[in-house]
Amino acid sequence: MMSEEEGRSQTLQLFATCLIDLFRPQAAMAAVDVMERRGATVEFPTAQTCCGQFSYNAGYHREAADLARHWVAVFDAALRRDSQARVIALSGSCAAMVIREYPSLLYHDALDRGDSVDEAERWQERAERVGKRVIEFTEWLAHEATAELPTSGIGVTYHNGCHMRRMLGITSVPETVLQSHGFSIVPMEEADQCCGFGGTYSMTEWPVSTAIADQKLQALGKSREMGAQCLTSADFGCLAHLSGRLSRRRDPFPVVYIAELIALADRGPVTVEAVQQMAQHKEEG
Amino acid sequence: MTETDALRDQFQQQFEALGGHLFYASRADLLPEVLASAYQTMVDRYLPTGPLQVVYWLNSDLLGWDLHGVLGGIRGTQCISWPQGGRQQAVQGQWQDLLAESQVGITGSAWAAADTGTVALYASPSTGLLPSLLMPIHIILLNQNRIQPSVREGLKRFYQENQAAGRMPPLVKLITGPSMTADIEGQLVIGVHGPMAIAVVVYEESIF
Amino acid sequence: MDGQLPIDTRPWPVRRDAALHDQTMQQTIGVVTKRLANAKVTAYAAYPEANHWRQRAVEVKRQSIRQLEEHLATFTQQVESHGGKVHRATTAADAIQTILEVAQHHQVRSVIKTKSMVTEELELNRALENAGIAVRETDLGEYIIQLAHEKPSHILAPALHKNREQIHALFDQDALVYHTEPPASEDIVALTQYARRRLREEFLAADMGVTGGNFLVAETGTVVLITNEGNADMVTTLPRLLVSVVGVEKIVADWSGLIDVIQQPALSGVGQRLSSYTTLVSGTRGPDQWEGPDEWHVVLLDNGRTQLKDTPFEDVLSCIRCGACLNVCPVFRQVGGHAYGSVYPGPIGIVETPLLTNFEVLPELPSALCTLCHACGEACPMNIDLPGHIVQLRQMKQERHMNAIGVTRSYRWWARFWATPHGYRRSMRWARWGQWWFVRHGRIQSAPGLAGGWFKTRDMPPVASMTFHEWWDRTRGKRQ
Ligand code: SF4
Repeated sequence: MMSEEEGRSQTLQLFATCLIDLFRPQAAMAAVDVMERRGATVEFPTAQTCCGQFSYNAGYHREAADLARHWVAVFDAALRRDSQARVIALSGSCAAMVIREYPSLLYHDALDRGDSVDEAERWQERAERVGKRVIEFTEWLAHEATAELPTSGIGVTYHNGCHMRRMLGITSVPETVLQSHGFSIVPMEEADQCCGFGGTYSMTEWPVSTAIADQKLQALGKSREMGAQCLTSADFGCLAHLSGRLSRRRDPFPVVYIAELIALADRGPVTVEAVQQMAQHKEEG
Repeated sequence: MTETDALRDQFQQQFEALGGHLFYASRADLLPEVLASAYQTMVDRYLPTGPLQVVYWLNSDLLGWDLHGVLGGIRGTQCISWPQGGRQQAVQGQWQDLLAESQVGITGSAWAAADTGTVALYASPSTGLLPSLLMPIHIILLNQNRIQPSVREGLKRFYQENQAAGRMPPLVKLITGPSMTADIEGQLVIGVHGPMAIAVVVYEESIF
Repeated sequence: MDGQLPIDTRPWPVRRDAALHDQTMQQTIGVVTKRLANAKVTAYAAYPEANHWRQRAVEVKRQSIRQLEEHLATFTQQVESHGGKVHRATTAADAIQTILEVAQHHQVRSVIKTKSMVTEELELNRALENAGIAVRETDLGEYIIQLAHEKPSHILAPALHKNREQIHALFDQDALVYHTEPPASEDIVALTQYARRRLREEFLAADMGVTGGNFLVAETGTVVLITNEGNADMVTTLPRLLVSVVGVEKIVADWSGLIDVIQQPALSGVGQRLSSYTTLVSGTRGPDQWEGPDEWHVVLLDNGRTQLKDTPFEDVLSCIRCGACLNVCPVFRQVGGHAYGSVYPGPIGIVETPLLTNFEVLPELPSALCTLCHACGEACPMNIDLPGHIVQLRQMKQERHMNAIGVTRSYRWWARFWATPHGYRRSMRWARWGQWWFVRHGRIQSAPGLAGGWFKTRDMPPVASMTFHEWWDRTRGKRQ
């Protein structure tokens, strides 16, 4: 497989996710930078919107299916142009939605709409086919031969998103990737616990959601005592939740999406100031 | 090490990890001595003062052994043997009271499991569960040939032995450690309803 | 037929806030659930074959459920040929009636009970007490909450929400009522000793024992009971009259199936290879025997269970009530069992409560008490698809129009706009334009509608002045 690919650069179709697109575009820009530095050709199917997980998890499956069909159509078309291309997802959770939930969601929704079983199976098969070519960003990165970078000594604690861990089975990969890029990992207590986000759960059931987030922040406090200088994750949703909570508590602790840290390390020795600056980077008016 | 020794070792490890005590009569003729010392160790440790009354029954391979001769000399212990044969409704209450007033139950056992540290007993006309239940201390006599590698194997054999006879004993009990609870603040406490201390005396093939 | 479940009638926000403000409960529940969850992982790691047997246990339970009626018939025939009597109860009310009839026939005045979720489901204690029969719970945790007139907060550790001071006070009061010596101190051992002494009297005096059941073995007509305290042994050995109330789904076809499942509740629930006491009842006392019941009644309860057969939810009937899903659930760890308002809390309660009652009670459970983190699905030894079911139940609620109309509209509009690139971009521009009413210090701090809840406790960065889409168009768009 390698040998075939070695000759020409691989094409990666970026799935940026709606949250990153709207609220943290720098995360996707960093990911593009990381991928291109490794010789990949990055394309961004600009018709993409949102994977529909918010609606799906809330029980609005018809609405979710509308978004899912659009997603499948956009990326199916993009992948058809290059049989070797893959879709890089900047979220373990959204990748899990596409890979694990789309086939049955689209199958059932087609039947609910009165389509024939054949038609339903076609949607299912199409979703499966596209899903097989979706890979989460850090998992892709782990397979890239990157020279070990010298350690920067920056202590990073990593939050493993629930869906990435439990639905995709990706557990230690992101930490390994961070380590090989010079970061030292500070463990997080009860690392497998949810951050309380849960999509719209964070809005409709904010008291419980917040209590869970505060539990996570307590664990984060212990990581900070052990030398963590930054919190990161391969899921921007979780990070938005935790940093949103930190911000409300007027706690300036840096929270950065994983691709941004990697991009920083790619560019040269990482300093704490650089990480902090990156985390604080805000839009001015 | 023979297979039996290995099983006994494994059983001991599990049983002791659960908080049980194990005593071993390595030769048939040592059993009375080992039982006496097991008894002495247990009562001195868990019931250092007060009168001692034992209710006991034995497996068929030890049947007829009078424990009074073995334990009677230890702190004036009274030994009451499990009554053979049928019961009368009228005496049931009295018998239960007698059991409830005793300090130590000594029973035989049907089989044991090495992987879990489990001992199995069941109720029959000559064997009862109450001595394993009502007293603060329970001492179990276990023929080491009855130690099975696993609780799965034990249950399988138990089934084969009994199903051949057409039915399972009406009341069977598997004991895997002392009575315990973590119901208050999640803290482990030993000895809620059943015994607070259990011991097994493992013996070689029958001496009688 | 739909089942009936007793509920806490306080609305969810009230139950939730009570839980979130109960420091004692939160403290203990957090510590204990974590300890149990870790014990499970350790136990499996140290027991190499355990996972293989677990998979066999899953098969056994699934297959036993598939032929439920057949196995129940065999079970009945076996129990009855060994001196017992089997009753089938379609609803909770039927079961209560059967049990009352047995008790009244024997002029029972006092009953001792083992811990049993099914009897909680029936609210049996209340029914017996209303009929003038004294009931005593004998599991320590159940005893404590019986004295406190409360409900269990965890299916394995019912009094998890109480601390030693509160328990001491309850026992002191009990000692006063029964003219007996109060506990020597607030020490946990002293409290346990008090319960041992007090309950011992009740064990010896009771006319009737009531147990639940962890498994039913059809082939041998056996009811299997698992405890750590030894109270099930007392209840099955001492009284002359024994009633076992068990859900029909507890059936396994045969003894070899029992062997496959018997270690699972302890392994997955508390990380032990077997609980301290496993009691197997297979009939009444023989003619020459001293112990065991003279009369044994087994009440097989349906209460909505069999309506799950042949549905996508059939796997729920494989639940062995190990509690593993509760122990790992982030929501359960925050709010504890009472907040669910159902006999069955935690992820399994979220799924089972609406299913057994056909959404009659507590329809908020699937939506309000789950972040969909999938921890329960990972923990469940019986491979029950708890997260999948929760999503499915949310969808069923939506189809049955059980959600607020405003919420439903929000999702509709959201999907309508975002299903096209044009709509997506337009809504983004609107958001960017609208959000400045809500931005303070460079962050959004409040919002209208569905999103409003977020901003009660959290900030959010504003929609970027240049989204990634826009950046790409501007910098790369030409190149493609
Ligand atoms: S659903 Fe699974 S984890 Fe939860 S109690 Fe039942 S068997 Fe245990």
